[in-house]
Amino acid sequence: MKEKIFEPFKVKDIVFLAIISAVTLCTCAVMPLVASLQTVVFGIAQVVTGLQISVFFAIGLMKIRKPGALFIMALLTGLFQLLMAPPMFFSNIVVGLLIELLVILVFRGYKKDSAIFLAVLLYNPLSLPFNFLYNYLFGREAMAAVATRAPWVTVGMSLAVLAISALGAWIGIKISRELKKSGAMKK
Amino acid sequence: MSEKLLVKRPIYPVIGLFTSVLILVFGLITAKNIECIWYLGGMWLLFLAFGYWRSCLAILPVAAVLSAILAGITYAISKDVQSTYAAVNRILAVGIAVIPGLALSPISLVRNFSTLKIPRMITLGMMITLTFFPLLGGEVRQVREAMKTRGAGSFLSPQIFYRAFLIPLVMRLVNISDTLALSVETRGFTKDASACSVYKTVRIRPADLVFLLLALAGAGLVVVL
Repeated sequence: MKEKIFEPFKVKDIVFLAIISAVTLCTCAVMPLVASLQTVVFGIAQVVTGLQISVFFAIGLMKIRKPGALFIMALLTGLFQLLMAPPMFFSNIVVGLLIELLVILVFRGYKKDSAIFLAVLLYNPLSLPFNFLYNYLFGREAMAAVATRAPWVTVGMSLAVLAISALGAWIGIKISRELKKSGAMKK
Repeated sequence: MSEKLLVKRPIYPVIGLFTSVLILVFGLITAKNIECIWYLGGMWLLFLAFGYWRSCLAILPVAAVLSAILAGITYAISKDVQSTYAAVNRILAVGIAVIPGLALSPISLVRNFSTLKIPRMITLGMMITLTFFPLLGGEVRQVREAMKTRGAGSFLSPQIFYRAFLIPLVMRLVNISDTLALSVETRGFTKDASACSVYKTVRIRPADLVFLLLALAGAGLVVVL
């Protein structure tokens, strides 16, 4: 029998994803503290928020393994970021859509843990080129210039964001596996 | 979000959100200009005049502390007064932009979205996310209390943090989510938008339009001048 890719979301799925989004937003509250350093160090915002986002998004996807779950979390966090930083809202939406598309094409959904790992791994680092392009085209010059001023720092910070996202995704998947094994987390 | 900050008759929620975005965008674009501070001051006074005095006063100490910290960091890095001035303006823009959000009850926003036929998935998600912020602090406190009772050790040790804090916290989140989902479903909250009615519809008033016009005029003036 052919396996269905798209499954409808239930109310309990939305509730869990909304709670995870709220926790992610709260843990990202450290971001404003480094906001002024964004014109000095490339990707500093992603470095300080990468771990929290990856851990909680991985937990969200481990429980709600339905295509669109990542996009819902990105949308809900983005809606609140819209009030604080509009580019982050657009970044969330575009990156969320891209990753959903990629996961559907490659893995046909989030049934495998590797699909969740890849999706979460890419979510934060993909916002780096998006933010660079946005600032280059419409934003502040200093924000775009910081990427080209010291290319080695840019490469180093991009790798750091990738490493932090991988660590977060691994921790999130590990926590979810433990909770599933103990019976605390059900489908 | 404290209930003390809520306004009895808030601005039409969508107009409030639009104004927040407007303040933020124009505040960031014109942060380096001398007029920016006048624009932000004007918007703060506008909120004050429309009954948002509690939120306006509550934001002052937060904005002052954050501005001082960021101004210090920016000046230490750049040694440039103009960059420091711009950093302060950016923080003030964010602070003033959150005023309508602070004074708006989540339910008004959800009712407004429901009236506008925005998908139930988004309104439900937003309502839960908004109402969960204050709850989360309590949950974290409870887990930390449990850690102390069990004599779990230092919060700073990664292993202890993972085993004694992160796992119980996620477990609590899962349990809360299950209970909340049950509660929402038993109250007849479905994803089907056609099967629902709005208890109190939020309507646009002439005062909302006046507010919107003044906010637009402020944004226009800061660009023209």
